[in-house]
Amino acid sequence: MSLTNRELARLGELLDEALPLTPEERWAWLDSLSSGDQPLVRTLRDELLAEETGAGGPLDRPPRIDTGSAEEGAVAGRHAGERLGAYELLRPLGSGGMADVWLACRTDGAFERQVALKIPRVQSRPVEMTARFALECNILAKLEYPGIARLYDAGVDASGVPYIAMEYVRGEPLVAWCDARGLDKAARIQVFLQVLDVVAYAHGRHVIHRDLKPSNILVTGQGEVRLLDFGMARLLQPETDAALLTRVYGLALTPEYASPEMLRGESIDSRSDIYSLGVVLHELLTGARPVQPTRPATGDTTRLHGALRDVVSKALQPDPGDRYPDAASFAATLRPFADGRAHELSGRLKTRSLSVGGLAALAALVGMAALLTWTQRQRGQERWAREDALPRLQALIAADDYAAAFDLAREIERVTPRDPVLRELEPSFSAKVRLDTAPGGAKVFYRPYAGGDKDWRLIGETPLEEVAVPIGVGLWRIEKEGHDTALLALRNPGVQLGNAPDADVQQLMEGVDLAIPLAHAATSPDGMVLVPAIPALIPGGDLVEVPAFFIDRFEVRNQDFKEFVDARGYTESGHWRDLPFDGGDWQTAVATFVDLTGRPGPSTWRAGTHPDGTADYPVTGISWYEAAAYCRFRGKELPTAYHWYRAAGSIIESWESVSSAIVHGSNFGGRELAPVGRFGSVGPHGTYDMAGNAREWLWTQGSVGRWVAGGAFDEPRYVYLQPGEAPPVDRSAANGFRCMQPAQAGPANEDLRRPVVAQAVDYAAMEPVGDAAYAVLAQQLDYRATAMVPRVGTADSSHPAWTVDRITLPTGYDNTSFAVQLFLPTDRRSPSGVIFYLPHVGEFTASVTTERFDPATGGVPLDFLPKSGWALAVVAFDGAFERQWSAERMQSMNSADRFRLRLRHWREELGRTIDYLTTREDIDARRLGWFGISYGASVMLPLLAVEKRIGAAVLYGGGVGLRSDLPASEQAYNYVPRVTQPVLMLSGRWDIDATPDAQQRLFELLGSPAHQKKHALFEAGHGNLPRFQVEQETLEWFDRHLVTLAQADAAVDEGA
Amino acid sequence: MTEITQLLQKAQAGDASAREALFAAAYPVLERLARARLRDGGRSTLLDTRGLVHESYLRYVRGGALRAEDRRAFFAFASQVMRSVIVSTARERAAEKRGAGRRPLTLSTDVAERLPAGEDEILRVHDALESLAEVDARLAQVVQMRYFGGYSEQEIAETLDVTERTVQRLWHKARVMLRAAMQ
Repeated sequence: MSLTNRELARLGELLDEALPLTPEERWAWLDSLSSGDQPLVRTLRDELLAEETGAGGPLDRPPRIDTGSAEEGAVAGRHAGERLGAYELLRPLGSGGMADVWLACRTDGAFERQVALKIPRVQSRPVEMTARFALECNILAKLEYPGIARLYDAGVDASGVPYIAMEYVRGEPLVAWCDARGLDKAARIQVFLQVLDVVAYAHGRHVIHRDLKPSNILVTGQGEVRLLDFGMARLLQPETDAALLTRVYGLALTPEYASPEMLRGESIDSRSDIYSLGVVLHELLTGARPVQPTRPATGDTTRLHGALRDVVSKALQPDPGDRYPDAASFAATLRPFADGRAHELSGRLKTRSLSVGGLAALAALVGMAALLTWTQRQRGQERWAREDALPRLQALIAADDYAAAFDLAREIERVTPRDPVLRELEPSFSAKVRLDTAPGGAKVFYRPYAGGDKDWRLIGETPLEEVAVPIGVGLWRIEKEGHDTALLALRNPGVQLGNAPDADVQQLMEGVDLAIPLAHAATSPDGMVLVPAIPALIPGGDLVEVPAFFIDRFEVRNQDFKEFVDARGYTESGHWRDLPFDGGDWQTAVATFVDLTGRPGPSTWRAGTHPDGTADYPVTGISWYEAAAYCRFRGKELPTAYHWYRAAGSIIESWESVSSAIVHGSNFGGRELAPVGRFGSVGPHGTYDMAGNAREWLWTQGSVGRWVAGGAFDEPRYVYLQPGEAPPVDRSAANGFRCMQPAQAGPANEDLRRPVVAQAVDYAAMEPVGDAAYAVLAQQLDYRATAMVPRVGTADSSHPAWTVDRITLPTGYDNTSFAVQLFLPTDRRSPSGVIFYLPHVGEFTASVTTERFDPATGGVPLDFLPKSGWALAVVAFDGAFERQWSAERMQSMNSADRFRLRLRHWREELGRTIDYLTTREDIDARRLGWFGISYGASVMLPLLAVEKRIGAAVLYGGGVGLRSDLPASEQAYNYVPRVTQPVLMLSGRWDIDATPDAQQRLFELLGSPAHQKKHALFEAGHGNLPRFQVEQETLEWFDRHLVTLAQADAAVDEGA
Repeated sequence: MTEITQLLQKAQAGDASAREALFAAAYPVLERLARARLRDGGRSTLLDTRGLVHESYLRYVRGGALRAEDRRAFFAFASQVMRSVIVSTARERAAEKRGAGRRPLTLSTDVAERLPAGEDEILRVHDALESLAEVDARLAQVVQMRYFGGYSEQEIAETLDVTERTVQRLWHKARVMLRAAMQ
């Protein structure tokens, strides 16, 4: 290192002077430095120059090490906000075999538009900005044609990473676009002719694409074709030689579309593109790629007939000389098949604006009617698929029998591949999963939770990538030589399966290693299952990181406990001595733990043994002390509440509850105990009978006794996750237990063993304030309309079902403004009603903006609203979305004041948005609805109480809660009786956030007339209510209560 | 109060054994994060995982459980641990590449084809940071949190109890000084 510490310190001082200066001032300042600093001046000048030009240094990249496999080493880890040359990365758009693609913008403001920035993944050494690279870029940059995504800029950053900035095209891949619109062959050919036209232009300039495939051919919302990545393959691999090309192409490119000569690594010309286009056209017309002798592929070639088949197969000839010489002659041959049908294409496009989308079964049924007419001409098998199988499929989905739907879909697919209706329905019964294990290479089997042994099917070997599996709760069996077989109940989609639908949850779990650890058979304790380390939340307690541990698969059985009795466990002081007995010594207390005949043992036993035939039954009739002593006898421990609830719940039980499935397979509401494991109620980590059968003692001290968990055979199901307590000396016949053991020896985690008093909320005591006091509360939220000037812009939307207006309004406070993202249904015959979206907490904490709000994604998709004719208003409320507060601002006031201030601000924002909407002719401001999720269905309810222009509300995951920072007089429950609009509550029975009690109290307190409020309860948790029912109930509610004037008149007429 | 919080308080009061225990208790979590950071190039930061669990999930369910000052001390400490994990991993890996490692030979063929040595760069930053710490400990702390810990400016500001603007200023200065020191 060339600088001494003294020099470095002096450099720091000089920088303090230099950095605040403008660049011009700096040069003058540098010149003025005294001779003593001269040795540093050169360094300073270099560094300041580097700083101004934005040259990166090592600190601008996160630390990176190749971590082992070549694949990992090739992934260029980058993150949003990172800079590459003059670009700032905004968000990843995707990654192909050769490059990662990021949405990026210029940091120097040279131009404003966003670009797609390609960064190669396969890179063996830093790239020099060679003459050849520059030349290639130049050629590509000159490809200016409407159908080609432009190349704007290319370069190499300071560390040798090349990048290419291209036009960012919003569109759908070719085949998907045509499928989604149900286009017939002629219409598809019409679109494909556009592709040929573009390729002909590029070939005319001697540019070969080299990687043509449907995902590189996009169709915009206007129905225009855009080709991406022209010549990119060559540009990204500049030092190509034949061998390398083969290797790279063999590895990285999609070989299904590559020509035979390219796969062989030979030199290629434009006819290689013709071949790829042939594959694309085949897929476009038949739904499958052609079957090739050189590689296995599935396809239904029988669907191409006569002349058209000949046209396609000419493009697919193995010998380039037998193909079309160029794109123009290909087009000329193909064109007659589309002639005279152009009008049909445009007609179809118009009628397609009502996409069935999310409202899977119901809307698709309507859509099917249209499709059915089309299919009259199809063959019998296809008729079977559409007329018999598809309706059956929809019935199965509606009945939540996703596994059967999944199997039926496979059959339909064999008959009509890529059936558009099937594609639409698919997310309703199937989701692609990713699953890894540690170690990998384990066999994975799946069966539906409610199924039997015959339903097991092999899914594959870990790591699983993008494997389609029925949605819903399933049982997963994971086998690997030398390891315990793991059995897990998992919800699909969900975090553990790598496909959590909720972006917040995904963000939450990012970086968490989700690989399922497999216990070594040789070292794992017998009869126990491994629960990996993940934070656990217990009812009424904190979120605590629980180290990995083993827990008994079954409740402790009579025969197990007999060994303890026979081994004179009741007199072994080591098991008992330090347990907390109330007064007296341990011998005195233990002397009272006797069976029916007065001998040491459970209260249900006789003469020191269990009743005949109950060896496999859980031991019950034991006190907490006996349970704890037994575990010690086995060298184990009694689980704490943290351990038990961690083992009983999925990773994020609140979102991905598996409890509803578990309790239905459990011994609940019955007459007697059952042998352990007889009920197939397997938990998320392979335990049995945590729900029902024997109630289980936990180590944890509560407010009056020790915790007992899971409910007993004679109790109703809903007690499963409700904590209970019992005096530790209780020896009732329903109390049993199981043991745990830390996975790694170490000091007992005292933190997990501390007492936990579940904070019981006394819902009955929530007494709303009287009218006079409420008047004061309501006055705080007084709203007066004032004149304002809205700024209205149209945001980009490639979605066929809606357009987007972005409105900016002044807040009326602090000289600030806020945005409203207004999603307007494309299909509007009359002014639309508007549904306001009231956000959940994630939108106050995660990095989301209204501008990027996508109704179709997220844990609770809202796209069904615009698709059903409702406008959707997403308001940037103070503190939410892009208006989140800085840490400084958060700390500038206490949480109560913060809440009060925000509430007043929200009132302004809601009021002003409505004022604005009333000025629009395409909006029917008499039909305004409220759709609130969680926070928006609880904390934000005061707004609903005061804003009577909102005519109806749907509360998803709502409940009435208590804020510890507010006095009783300001709690949300004071406002709830003043909510008089029709309210629909959509709730989960297994919601541990808005608990059933909290839901119930909210429902009781609502001021809406009895016939205008409804509480729909589902077998789900907090954020995972069944989508189809949610959409159906919501639409029905809004349709019923937000009626148009015409409808109201009609109703009156009818009544009269 | 969590075990970590308790240990943290004792360690702050100068209890050396508590600091050791704290290190041991938090180490597995932090090591996992550090490795994720190495692998993903920074997408997984402390606040994305454990911190997010607290910030987002806890707030979702109930009020925040960790006191601000505890969190600050913990995060500052965590970046130190992550640095040490990253640096020691880099050292091991550099040694492997020089042939001193214990890894099977099969890997050695593709080692040469990998990206330019990230580990050398990490070790150089680490060394330069040592020098910087002697000159200006706060600057070094900012670099440690941002480069090794992957914290955002806002998070660093919270942890050091200064404004974000100050963090930006410090970062700006630190990166110029470090670059000079690494020449």
